[in-house]
Amino acid sequence: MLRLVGVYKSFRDGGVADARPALAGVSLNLGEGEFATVVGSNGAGKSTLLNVVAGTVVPDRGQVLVGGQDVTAWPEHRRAAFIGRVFQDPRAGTAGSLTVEENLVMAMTRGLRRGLRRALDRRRRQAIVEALAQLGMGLERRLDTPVAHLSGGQRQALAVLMATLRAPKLLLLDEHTAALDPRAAETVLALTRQVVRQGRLTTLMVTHNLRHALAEGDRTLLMHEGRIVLDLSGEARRRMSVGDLMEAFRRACGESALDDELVLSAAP
Amino acid sequence: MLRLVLEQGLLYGVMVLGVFLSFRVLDVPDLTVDGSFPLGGAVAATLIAGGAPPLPATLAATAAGAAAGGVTGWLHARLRIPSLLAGILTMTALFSVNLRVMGRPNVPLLRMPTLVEAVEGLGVQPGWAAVALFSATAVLALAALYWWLRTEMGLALRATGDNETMAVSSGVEVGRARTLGLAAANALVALSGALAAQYQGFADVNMGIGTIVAGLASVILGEVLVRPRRLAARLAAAMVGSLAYRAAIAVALQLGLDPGDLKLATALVVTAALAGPGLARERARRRSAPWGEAAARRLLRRPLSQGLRLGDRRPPLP
Repeated sequence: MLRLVGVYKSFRDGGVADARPALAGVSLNLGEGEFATVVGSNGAGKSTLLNVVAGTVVPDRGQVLVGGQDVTAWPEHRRAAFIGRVFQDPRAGTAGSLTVEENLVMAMTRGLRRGLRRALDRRRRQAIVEALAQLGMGLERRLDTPVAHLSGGQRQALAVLMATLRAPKLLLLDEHTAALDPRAAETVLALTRQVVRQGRLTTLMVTHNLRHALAEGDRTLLMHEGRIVLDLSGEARRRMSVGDLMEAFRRACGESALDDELVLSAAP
Repeated sequence: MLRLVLEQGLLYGVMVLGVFLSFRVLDVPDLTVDGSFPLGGAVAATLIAGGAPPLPATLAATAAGAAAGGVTGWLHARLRIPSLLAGILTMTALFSVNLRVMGRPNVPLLRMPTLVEAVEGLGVQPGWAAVALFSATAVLALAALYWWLRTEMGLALRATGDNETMAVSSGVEVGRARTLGLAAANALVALSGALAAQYQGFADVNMGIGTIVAGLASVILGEVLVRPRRLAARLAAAMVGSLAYRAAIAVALQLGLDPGDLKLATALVVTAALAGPGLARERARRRSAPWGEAAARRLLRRPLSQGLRLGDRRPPLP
């Protein structure tokens, strides 16, 4: 479903190319319905990888293919027709001054031509109520509330719902539970699991948490210095414990790559 | 005085709706307004003076305003010029354009048919024709804007102004959305300018000076007075703000304020209104938080657009 071919990206700082590229030739094949987690230390290129797929960042070299179609030159808003995305900041994926139902209509019309049709009619409102009811947060009774008034967890749950409402070909999750308190993070993660399974969504989830990297999905990619240095799936992945992954991390990237947060995330 | 306040409040209220659209909905402080207001006046007055009927002349003026807004949007969206600067460029260019349109700095409409006279001809109570015309226009503009902002297109516009990241990932071409919004905003402003020319009996190349500040003052005044939450109320508040602003000016002039000092006074009022809420929050924070915590919070605060970066996950502050 997603294919990256030799993607290279270096950010220029004051006219001088950064000595170390953010992505140093990444190739990846993600099959339909596959759910891969991406883990790595700060600056490993995880977020740049997602940005290249989403179209926020244009690669210097290489190709991005979604569903067999080369989308490398497509602008971000055009790719949004088949890519759902959830950001780390709960405020990024929703519009605070718009109401709950208005946000959902934006998700409902993602990738469609937006014309002079009334955005909210009874049929759409009904569909929105049904979708919100699945969250079990009572948001279906707060259709008229500006999203800014919701908690971070509610807002992020809404963002997950919005990203997956129109069954995207590809779901991109960028550390989407990292800014939440532990309980809200667990709720949002459970919701993510549920919608991904229900829709059999091809998913790429960046995380900074080694436990999540192994427990979620069915494939784990370890990134370091702009490269995928470890690609785990199947039996090898099932047998791997968090301690093993940390050891593999150390071997692949050296001691220094294990920043505190990664170590802490592995703690039971 | 009441009649004067109603006339001016409603007339400029159409312009205020335009400023509301760019400033509040799109989150763009659009200075094009200072040029598109006289553009509307210039186009309408020149056409009427040349023998055109007033209604088509007014519509042509509105279209010219849309084009001016479109230019600002294009400068911003396609040439990547910051929106504030794009507005300044268009505004400056429009000064020459307006002179070209009129062929001289001032076009009088003496003994020419205007919309105001046309309404007088409908048998409105003498003296109240302008009020009737301007309230009809204001209501029409309010209704049109309310309808538009609730269509799929309008919602995309509001999302763009609120959160560009969200808009883009919802498939909105934000550059196009902004251009469209700025065109609509300046169409309203030019319509207001066209009516102003017909109301005062002339168009003048300098009639736009301070339009944006008056517009902002009205928008903010309306928000303070009405404290609106829903879209309909927010639009109505802009109109209320325009009436309140014109009333305040009328009172101030009556009390002996030098008309030359008017713009200074308006600028001061807008400054206070824009800075007020921020200063109040700051004071409240200083009072409630111990010194170290206040400093820490200031450090942690970051514009929404930047979002949170990797590695700055932090425990939520109480």
